[in-house]
Amino acid sequence: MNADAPSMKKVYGIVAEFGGPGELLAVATKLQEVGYRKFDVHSPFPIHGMDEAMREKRSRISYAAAAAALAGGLGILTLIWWVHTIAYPLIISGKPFFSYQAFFPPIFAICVLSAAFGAMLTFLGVMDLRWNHPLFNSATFKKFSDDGFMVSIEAVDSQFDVIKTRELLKSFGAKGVETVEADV
Amino acid sequence: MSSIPTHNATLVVEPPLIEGSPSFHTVTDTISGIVEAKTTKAWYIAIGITSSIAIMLFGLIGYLFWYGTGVWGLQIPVGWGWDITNFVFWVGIGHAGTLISAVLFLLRQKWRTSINRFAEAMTIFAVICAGIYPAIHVGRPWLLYFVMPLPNQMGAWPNFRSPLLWDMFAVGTYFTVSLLFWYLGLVPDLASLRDRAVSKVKKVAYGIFSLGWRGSNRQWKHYELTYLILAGISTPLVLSVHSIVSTDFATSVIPGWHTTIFPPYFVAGAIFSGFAMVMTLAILARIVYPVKAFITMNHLEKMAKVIMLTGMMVGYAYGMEFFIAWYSGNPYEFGIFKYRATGWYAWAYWTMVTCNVLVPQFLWFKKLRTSIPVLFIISIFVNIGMWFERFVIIATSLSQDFLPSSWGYFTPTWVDVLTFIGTFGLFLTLFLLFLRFLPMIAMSEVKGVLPQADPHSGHGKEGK
Repeated sequence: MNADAPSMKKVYGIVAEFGGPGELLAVATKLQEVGYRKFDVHSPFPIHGMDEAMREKRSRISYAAAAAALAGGLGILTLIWWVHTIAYPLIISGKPFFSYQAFFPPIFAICVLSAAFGAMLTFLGVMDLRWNHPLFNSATFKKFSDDGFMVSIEAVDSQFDVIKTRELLKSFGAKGVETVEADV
Repeated sequence: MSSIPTHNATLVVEPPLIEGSPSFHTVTDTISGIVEAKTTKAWYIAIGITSSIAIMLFGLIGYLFWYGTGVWGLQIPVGWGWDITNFVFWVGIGHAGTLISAVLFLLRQKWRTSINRFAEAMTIFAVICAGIYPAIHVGRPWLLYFVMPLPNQMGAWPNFRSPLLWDMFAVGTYFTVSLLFWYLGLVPDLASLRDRAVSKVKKVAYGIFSLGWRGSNRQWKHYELTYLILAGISTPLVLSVHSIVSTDFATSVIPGWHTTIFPPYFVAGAIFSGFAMVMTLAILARIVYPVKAFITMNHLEKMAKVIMLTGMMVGYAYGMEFFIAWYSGNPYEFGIFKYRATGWYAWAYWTMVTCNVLVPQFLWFKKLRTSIPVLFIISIFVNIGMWFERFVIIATSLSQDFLPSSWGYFTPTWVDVLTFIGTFGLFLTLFLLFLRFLPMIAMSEVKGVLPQADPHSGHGKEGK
């Protein structure tokens, strides 16, 4: 397919394949320097140093996990306090109703459980979960989950130009360049 | 000029994590190939056998529900028998999976990448088998919800001081977190299977579960942190879950149970037994599937060393238990230990000591540690020994307590035996399904530890 030909569909962006993790890292650095922002790299495994190259900020899922753990822990603590002092106070081995030391195991378990759900659900929320992402229209893109090291540049990037961006990627040594269309 | 001696410096060369230096594509092809290949006759035969045994388990559970726990060998004084033995046995096995996937991840032990996927699968299936026992041993299983803090028509609430309730929270959390952790690890690999899928059904199924994974750096960034968090919170679970299981015993005042050594002793035993099970399964997987390059001798040897270490911890605990029983000056405590070694259950006690303390000592020798048949046999011995450990703890302490008038001997019935065999059927059925439909080795992680995955390796200047 001639990617430069006018099409009725909207262009999502360009996908280009590179030789390996080192090359991909170099390309990401260069794209960043040239001024591209709406680009991403796709690899079969996370590449060490890529966040710095793309000037990505650290993920903040840990805060969500910590908040969830705290909320879960306080929640179960409140429940236990209510159960043992208000709803169903029982004298067991002559201990105080709110003998908090003995409540540590369930509180700990719920903290861990809440942190896990907090992290996992936040991850699902921020990972840009799209089953029908336009990149899946590309045939070459598929290789990312095997041994392909891809760069994708979105058409919404201010620097983007179907022809110039292609040339730029080729000058970086791209093996295959493909224009990807979005489903309209 | 320079006086630094270089001639006698020795460089320790670690054996490669993955043998034969495969390309990224070879990794995908080999591991996905196992899932994509036509189902073999052997697999059908195997799952036919194991699922029949699993069905027998459900039949026996129905039989138990109909007649009550009397169909087991339980009586007074031994009110806990094979049911709780098997519960502790299965939960313990799970711990190695979590240790491998979480603790070794935090310690940056890269060799774990080849075995973590199926070790985690083993954890999940073992915890499923474990969870069955507390649920069915309660006598009136339709009242099981009593243990959960649920609003009910009686206005009654559970006692949060009870170790049995702690157990429910601990094991429930353990199962859920392990499942989430396992699933998260699977996502990139499911995407590989999705992108290689030929049939529409597979494409859709793997597509849904791979969450539209695009391997983009912005996704990896969040993915890696989530993985790290789940590893971080699973790590205390390795210690806490079996500690809490041990409090089921330790908080009671039964001689032989009421000891502070129980939590660490149970945890060491859990890791010991779990590694033995991982070893058993890894050796079998190496025979059946083309994964020898991934699960290498190096991996097996490292696991053997963990087995040896934890085996000695367990041996130390046996010795220390005995010592403290004597040193405490408590006649009942020391009485139960003398009874364990010389009484009605001496055969079980010495089976335990032989399997758990003596047999792993063979692993001191590199020749034996690197022999697959020897490793397989030792792993089976450890599995047996650790089952006996739990049986000895439970049955001996209950069978003879303070009053000789209430002594009794526990004998399992055919229902006990077949129910236990049934859980193996369930475990192996789930494992066979896993091997058939999911990648048994974490492809994306294995690719990440190959030498060419380092962006600064080789190729001269391109890596900057």
